[in-house]
Amino acid sequence: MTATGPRVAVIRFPGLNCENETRRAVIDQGVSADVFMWNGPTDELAHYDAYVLPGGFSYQDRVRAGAIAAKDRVMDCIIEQAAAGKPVLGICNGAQILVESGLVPGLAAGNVEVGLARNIMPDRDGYYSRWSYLRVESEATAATAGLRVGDVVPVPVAHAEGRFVTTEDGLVERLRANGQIAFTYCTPDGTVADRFPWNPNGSTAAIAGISNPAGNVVAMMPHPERSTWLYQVPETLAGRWGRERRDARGDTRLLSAPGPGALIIRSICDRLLARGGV
Amino acid sequence: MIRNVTLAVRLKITDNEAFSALEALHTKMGLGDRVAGLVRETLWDLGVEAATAAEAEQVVEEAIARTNVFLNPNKHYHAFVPAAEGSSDLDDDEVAVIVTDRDGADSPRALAAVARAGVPEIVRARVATRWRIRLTETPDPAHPEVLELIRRIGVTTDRDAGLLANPHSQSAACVLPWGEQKPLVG
Repeated sequence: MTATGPRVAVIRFPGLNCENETRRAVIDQGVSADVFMWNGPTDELAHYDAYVLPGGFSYQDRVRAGAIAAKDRVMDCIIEQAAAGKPVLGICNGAQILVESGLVPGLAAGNVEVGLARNIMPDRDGYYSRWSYLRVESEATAATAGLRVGDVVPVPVAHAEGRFVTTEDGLVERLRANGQIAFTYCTPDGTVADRFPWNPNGSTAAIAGISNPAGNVVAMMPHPERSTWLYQVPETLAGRWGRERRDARGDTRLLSAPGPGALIIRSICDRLLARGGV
Repeated sequence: MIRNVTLAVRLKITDNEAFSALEALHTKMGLGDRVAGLVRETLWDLGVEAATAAEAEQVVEEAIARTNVFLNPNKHYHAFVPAAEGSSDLDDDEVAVIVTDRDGADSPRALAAVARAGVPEIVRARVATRWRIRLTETPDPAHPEVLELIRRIGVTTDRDAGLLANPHSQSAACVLPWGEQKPLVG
């Protein structure tokens, strides 16, 4: 981390609760990061090189998750900087804000083209938290540039309104063709999941994260900052990451090694480090 | 015979959600000169087995008195919404936007409520949110441009327009003070 290197602003809206661990996850990748208040001066905000809208409950999810924060003036600055090509990552509530802002999928710039609807789950209702498995569907987004199509990344989900839906005919096909579907929910072996529990919310086409056409703005419902270090991974998790976690038991050095979510954060940070800021 | 009873429930104390929505309309969407107030209600659309409409309302009143399922009388007001075509419980300067989940994601909550109520005459339930919007100017049936204003408040088409319903996940209809109802989002 250097004073002259790239800097990431983690935006704190009232009601968010993941800003500090998100900041730590970015710093762990060697990039400077600050928590920036939603009502802070936007001329200062504009000097950052990338932006993360973290998870939580902006404005207590009043009206609809992300609906009120999307209309905050701070989003004018984020939209302007996104148009200039700077990376923007929205995680969970951050994703809801990006969707309600019309920043993603952004096929018709500024229009709200999708919704993040209430979860649909058999025999239950409301908030749901569990580990999910993400399949990388495109390498053309800021969050997946360091990954390969077909990679499986376990990341926790925790939300009540995370089901990608749209009423626009052919939109999902267009997103797929454009490489704008960053992640889908999948089974531990990487098969795209069309049903609960692997698709935890009934999301259309199992979509877990999408980007704008340029790929620099990514909205994802799962929380990569909650699996940034190996110690955050449960020993019972199926596959490679659970095995690594079990092997690291009792070894604090190994437990502090990167977890699966670090691969997503690192993708964005590597992009910043490669060009040394904007 | 199954009769429809629509029950409107709102908080007796300040509704923070309505407060935030009103503030967003005023300060973030520039509608301070058009919107004077906002009240949020939960609408329970209940199917009640009863011989008459009055009997159906009586069944619901008894369910309210015996259970805390549809509302808590300590903290909520309730009223029945008139069902007859062209009738309205809105004031002259009020319009309403009714928002429902497009694909019934709210149904489990409603069905669970019916089961919890344990009143066999109540055979089905749906739930919606009704936003009662007090306008600064009384709408006039001869000037339908009020619909444009309601759409601008109600349907989120882009970041600057619409707050109350995301058309991809929610349906919305508006109710005018003279009882006319129009879909905003199908």
